[in-house]
Amino acid sequence: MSPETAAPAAPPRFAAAVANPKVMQRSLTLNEKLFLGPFLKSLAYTFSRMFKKDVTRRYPEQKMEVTPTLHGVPVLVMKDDGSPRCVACGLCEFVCPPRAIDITPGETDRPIEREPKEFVIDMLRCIECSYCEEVCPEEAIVMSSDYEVVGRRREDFVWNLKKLLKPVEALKARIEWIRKTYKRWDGAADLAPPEGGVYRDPRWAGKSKPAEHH
Amino acid sequence: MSSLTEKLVTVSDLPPQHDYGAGGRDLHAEPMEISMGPQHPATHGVLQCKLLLDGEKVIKIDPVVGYLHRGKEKHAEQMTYQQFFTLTDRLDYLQPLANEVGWALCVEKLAGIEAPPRAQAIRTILCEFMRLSAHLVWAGIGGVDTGAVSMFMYAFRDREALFDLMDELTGLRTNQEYLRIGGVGADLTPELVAKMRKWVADFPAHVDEFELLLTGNRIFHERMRGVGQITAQQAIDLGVTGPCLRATGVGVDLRRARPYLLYPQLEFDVPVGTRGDAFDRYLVRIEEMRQSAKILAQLLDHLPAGDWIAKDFKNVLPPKGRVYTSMEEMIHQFKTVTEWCPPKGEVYLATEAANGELGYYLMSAGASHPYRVKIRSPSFINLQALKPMTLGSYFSDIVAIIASLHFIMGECDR
Amino acid sequence: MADAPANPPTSSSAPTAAPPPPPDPLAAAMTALGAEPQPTTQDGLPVFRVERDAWPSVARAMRHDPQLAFELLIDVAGVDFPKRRPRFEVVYHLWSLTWNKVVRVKVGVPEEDPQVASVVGLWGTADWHEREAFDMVGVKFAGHPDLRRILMPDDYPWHPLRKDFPVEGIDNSISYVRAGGVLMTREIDVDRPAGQDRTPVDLSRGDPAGYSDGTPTLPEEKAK
Repeated sequence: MSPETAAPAAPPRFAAAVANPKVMQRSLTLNEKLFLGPFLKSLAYTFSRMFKKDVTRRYPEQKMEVTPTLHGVPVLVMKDDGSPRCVACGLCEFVCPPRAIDITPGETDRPIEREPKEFVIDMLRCIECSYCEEVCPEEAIVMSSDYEVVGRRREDFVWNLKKLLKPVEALKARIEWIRKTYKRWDGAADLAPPEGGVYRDPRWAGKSKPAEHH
Repeated sequence: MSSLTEKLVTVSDLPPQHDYGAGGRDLHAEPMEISMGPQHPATHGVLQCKLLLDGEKVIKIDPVVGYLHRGKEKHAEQMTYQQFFTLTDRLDYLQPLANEVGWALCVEKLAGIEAPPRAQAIRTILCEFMRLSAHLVWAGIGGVDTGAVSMFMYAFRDREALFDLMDELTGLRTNQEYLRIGGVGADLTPELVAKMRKWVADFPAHVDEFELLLTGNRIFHERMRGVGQITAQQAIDLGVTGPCLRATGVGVDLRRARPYLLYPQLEFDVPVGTRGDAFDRYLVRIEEMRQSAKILAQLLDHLPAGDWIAKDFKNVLPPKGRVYTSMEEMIHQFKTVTEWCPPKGEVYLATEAANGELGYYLMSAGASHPYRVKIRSPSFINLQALKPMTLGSYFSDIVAIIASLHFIMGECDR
Repeated sequence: MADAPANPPTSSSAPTAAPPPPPDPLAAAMTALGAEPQPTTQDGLPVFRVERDAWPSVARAMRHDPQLAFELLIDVAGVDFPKRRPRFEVVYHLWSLTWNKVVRVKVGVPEEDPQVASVVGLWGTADWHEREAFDMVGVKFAGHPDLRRILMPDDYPWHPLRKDFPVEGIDNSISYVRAGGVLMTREIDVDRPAGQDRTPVDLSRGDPAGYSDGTPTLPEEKAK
């Protein structure tokens, strides 16, 4: 568009439209208007499907294949001594979009800063998006492969710490998936967390409690 | 609650050119007020149509929406940008990832982040899969609404296979929450690409099956030809976009008019209709399914290698292994999750969803949550076309028109 | 500029004198109508601010002038800025199919007289857009044939997308779970006047620091 001259020439109608759209037109042929021929043809087609292999999965006798990618409900990883890996940092509670997670942190005698006194996930609110698992810095909350959560009352769906803790062996496949996927790009060092799942600052090695804060 | 009839409306009150059918003005007839919906199997969700009928003819129609209003725009003001992905999924719930793509592109434009080429390719692939997902539901439900019940089964058989592919990629069949700001949530494995390629190669034969049942079917023609006709001028005036606009002859497709992702590099046709009636909308969507399969074949054959999320420590969560052991990445993790703030500004970005132009108008004040999100929902706008399309037509045509407009109340009401 | 978008500055200090860019005919036409160009934001759309009284004539020109030819009204959004004067802003996005251009037009609407001219006569799609803006923010559109609520029930007394409306709503029952897994339900007494069971409304929450455009604040704040 030249600035000096008067109004620019009008472009062809609708510059926003594609130049060569594919025009779809369809009218009925005589055979189709008579209807009997095409009617029998499509009837024969639908009839023939009765004798083909069906695609229905008869749930619950046939269940779907569970892969490590599958999002079940989130559960907490339990260490060998029965305590949770979770340190109640609150990231999962913060990021949970439907606000399904509720953590009450508390002090502990274990050599970590804090632990969850109570950890509640309302499975009726949980949408199994796996954001909690993605943000957890301790590999403490992990999506299980349990997608069939049932109960008779609303309270049955509110899972507390005891109900959420699962041993780490049951979650090995998913933990491997996490480590592989959340490496995020090739070349990132594949650093596995140390044993016990909790980062141990070498300054506290051999001591039972972290140094006092004044 | 407003009523369509203030007082008893008799035949003599109606305009003289109104056609009363057999009996004419000598027959005393009263218009009937009917509420179709909101609980109705054929209204594509919770839509209430308040109708005033003269026998079977529609004299007045008033669509009432808002039964599925969930306050997403209000919630957006309290949620972080990543959390809002879960709400965008549930807009047009037949095509969750396509809604997510629109939001991701909008936020990335605001923040000046660029997703790597592989992530863009994966997003384009998912957009087209989701377009197929939405059109398959339209085909199935459109068939069922007009009487062709087996059509529903075939369309959903294909959709189940598509769900299995999504399950393998994202872990969830629907409402996948798979996209991230800066890229996608996980990579496409070569096995999955092969499965997708096979599904895409088999798909055009399935579209032939759908056409065998419906396109040459005289009953389908009688139900859809000439029904819900709208001119191009009316459609543009009403703000209609997407297949409903293209069926009137206007070849406007956002993938070509205001391109995004990898669409400028792809070869595909944009189908248009000629008369703007329900049958043309059917033809346009069937052809769009074929074109989507063509696009997918091109993308899956030429998937770029590389990162699937931006290598950007300030905007993307760092690698998990480092978060476990290194302090700096741990701090980045915390800050990105809780305090990620894009700059101040506004962005309007629209993508071509299955129903039309899905736009996000995002205003940011520089905080970790948006200041205002306005979702320009195509179903909401296209639903305005219901009135001119149905006035004067028969009651059973309303079902065919609703099926051909294919609005989704989740998107309409937000 | 305080409102400048956070884009990296373009290098305008080139050693050789580059020819000035050709004047944008769209900006020229809009300025001639009375619209004020605004700095563009990250999406690169031309943005114009139009005075409320000038809006009907500007809209008419945008629709009918063949050089502008904005045939499609994409979106009408109502936005609430509690600390600004005028308080409300109606943002129109328009698309010219003939020229394939999208623009954003903002019209400020004061709280004392929350109405603006309706554009239903020019773009039929504005019908539901304006009903929604009225429903959510409370801006009335003069000349709209049927301005009633669209998403909320017809007799709903509040406007939800205003910044002083809480996200959990008013006069509804909320159920939530406390730590310990006990299901709690909080019922709100519908007969009690709104506001008594909530913490006092703080309008400053709506407009983070630095987001106001410098217009005078509320009289009560000045007195402090």
